[in-house]
Amino acid sequence: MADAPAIELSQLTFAWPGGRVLLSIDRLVLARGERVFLSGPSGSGKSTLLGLIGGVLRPHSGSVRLLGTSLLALPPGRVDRFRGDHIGFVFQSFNLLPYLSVMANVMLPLQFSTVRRERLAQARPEEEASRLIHALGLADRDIQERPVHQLSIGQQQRVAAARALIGQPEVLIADEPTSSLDADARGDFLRLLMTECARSGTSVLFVSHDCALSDRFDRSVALHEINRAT
Amino acid sequence: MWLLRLAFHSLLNRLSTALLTVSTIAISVALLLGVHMVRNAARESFENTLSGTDLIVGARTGSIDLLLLSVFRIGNADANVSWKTYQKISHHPDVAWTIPISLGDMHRGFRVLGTNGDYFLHYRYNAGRSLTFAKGHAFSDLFDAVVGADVARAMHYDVSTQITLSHGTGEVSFVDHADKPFRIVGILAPTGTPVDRTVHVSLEAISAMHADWQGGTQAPRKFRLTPDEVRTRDLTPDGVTAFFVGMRSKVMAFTMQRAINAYREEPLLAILPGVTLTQLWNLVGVADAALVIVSACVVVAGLLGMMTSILAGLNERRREMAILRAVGARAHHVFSLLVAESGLLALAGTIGGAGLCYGLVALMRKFPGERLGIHIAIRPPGAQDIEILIAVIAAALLVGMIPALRAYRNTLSDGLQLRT
Repeated sequence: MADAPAIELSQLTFAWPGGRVLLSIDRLVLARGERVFLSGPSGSGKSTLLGLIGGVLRPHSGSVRLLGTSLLALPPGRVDRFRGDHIGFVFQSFNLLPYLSVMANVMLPLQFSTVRRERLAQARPEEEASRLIHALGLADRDIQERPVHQLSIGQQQRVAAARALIGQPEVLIADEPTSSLDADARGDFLRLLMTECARSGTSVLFVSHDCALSDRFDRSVALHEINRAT
Repeated sequence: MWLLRLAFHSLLNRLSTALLTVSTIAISVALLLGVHMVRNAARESFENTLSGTDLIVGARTGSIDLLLLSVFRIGNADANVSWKTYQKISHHPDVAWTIPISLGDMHRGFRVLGTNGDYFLHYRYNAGRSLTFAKGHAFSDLFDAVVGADVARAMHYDVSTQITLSHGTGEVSFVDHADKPFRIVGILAPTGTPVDRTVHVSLEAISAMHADWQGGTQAPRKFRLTPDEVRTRDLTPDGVTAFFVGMRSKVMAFTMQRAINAYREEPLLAILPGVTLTQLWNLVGVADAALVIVSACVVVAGLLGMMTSILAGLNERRREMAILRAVGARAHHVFSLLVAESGLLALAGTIGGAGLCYGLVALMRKFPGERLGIHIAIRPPGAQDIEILIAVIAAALLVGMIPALRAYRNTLSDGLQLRT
């Protein structure tokens, strides 16, 4: 299934219990290594859509396939494991555990996923974590052992990105990762993130309401255009 | 292992709450261990009150009454054993030694015990230890007295202090044997037994004090005997309250016991002190078990306190759980993390509690030995102590499953993301 799309949604509908249909998407496909910008005003169901792709929410009807595997066919425990093995997440803020060092935060996914640990091949976890931290522009050596709360928001987001990418997951889902950053930091962050994703061949689903960023992506999708429910 | 480290770091992040929880558990565990230790020490001390004696013989009464009277010097005898019978048994070929005792007088709240030199020779306590003198020697003159360690300390007595004994066994007596003062010639070393609280005189001295008494009242002043006059009298006692018997061979004790209990000329009771001590302890043991139950309840309260504090903290930690889920932690990891947290708190609490308990015992080591007649030995934690500690940790893990389940359910409904 190596050539199955990274993400493949079809005939998807979703409604909160007792509510009206929030999402109704005919088809959305992310090829392997493809970087897609998903835009939409707040409240348009972006987070709900990510919940469906992450397997945290179950659709009303339709199918969600990740790397050729149907999430709906897996029991909940396996969905969790599948997500941990194949998807890295970066959220808008508060991504890090405050009581762990930068290094320990970056290496967290390796503790929960054997698949991602094995992908490191020869590299030791510390080496890979260190490399990613550098690649994302945190060159300062002593930053690695610093407690997380001493970092700026921009630095924290880079650490979160390094953590999402460690162990080379096939898919990176970024939910407004730059909204807390100023314009300069935003550009830097995005450039480094894209470089690193290209290096590891990771598909990116980047969600933002800031359409100015969309020209850095292979493709741009507006949620309100593909969602027939609104 | 990794989750344990994660739980540890997470707890460090909430250090003040964690420390409070740990100290609650530590105090409750220290209490439980302490009660357990004091209980063992009390039991040991109790069983060590008397040793080496094969039989105790007295006039017929309850076996526990006889034990309380003869060993603990509590209560009164309704009747005596006649001197003739005492002589007969003490000269029996199977009997190695006897110690006669005669109780009935007091000195400032301490029992006066009439006996003879065999008391200092044959009386044994604490697995065969014999009585030793801290000062002075055994009585030799008619009006000599030997006091126990507590009597000497409480009353500031020393060798050659003059004392007056009182008639009867009330705390306060209105009739003193003031006309026949005694001189202290010996002070016994502390034993941690009722011996420490006893004033010892000779059997003849007991007779001498009562030589001019008739039917429980003192003769009118003009008929009273002076100490010098009384020395000329025949002071052989009419009887004794009870006597301790050492047999030439332990196995003969049972035969002798049966023979004494079936003695026709006088109603007697012979008891095996070890058996009766156990009976008495079982009686006392009810209160003792209640104490253990209460202290176990305190530990349960401590663990419930821990559970409450973890539960109360869960809401603030929803983000922490969501982050863990987003980096690949599955729901069962969250569950294990929370249980590990309870386990760590309980581990720290039990270690702290054990340290607290042993520290306090070390501090108060001297205190109970002398004051309460109980000596608490400091030993490395025994198998039972370790069982208690393991039980506390196991209980904590069990209790810890409740917040763990809650967190588990939260993570399932919260998903990967929490916004503020």
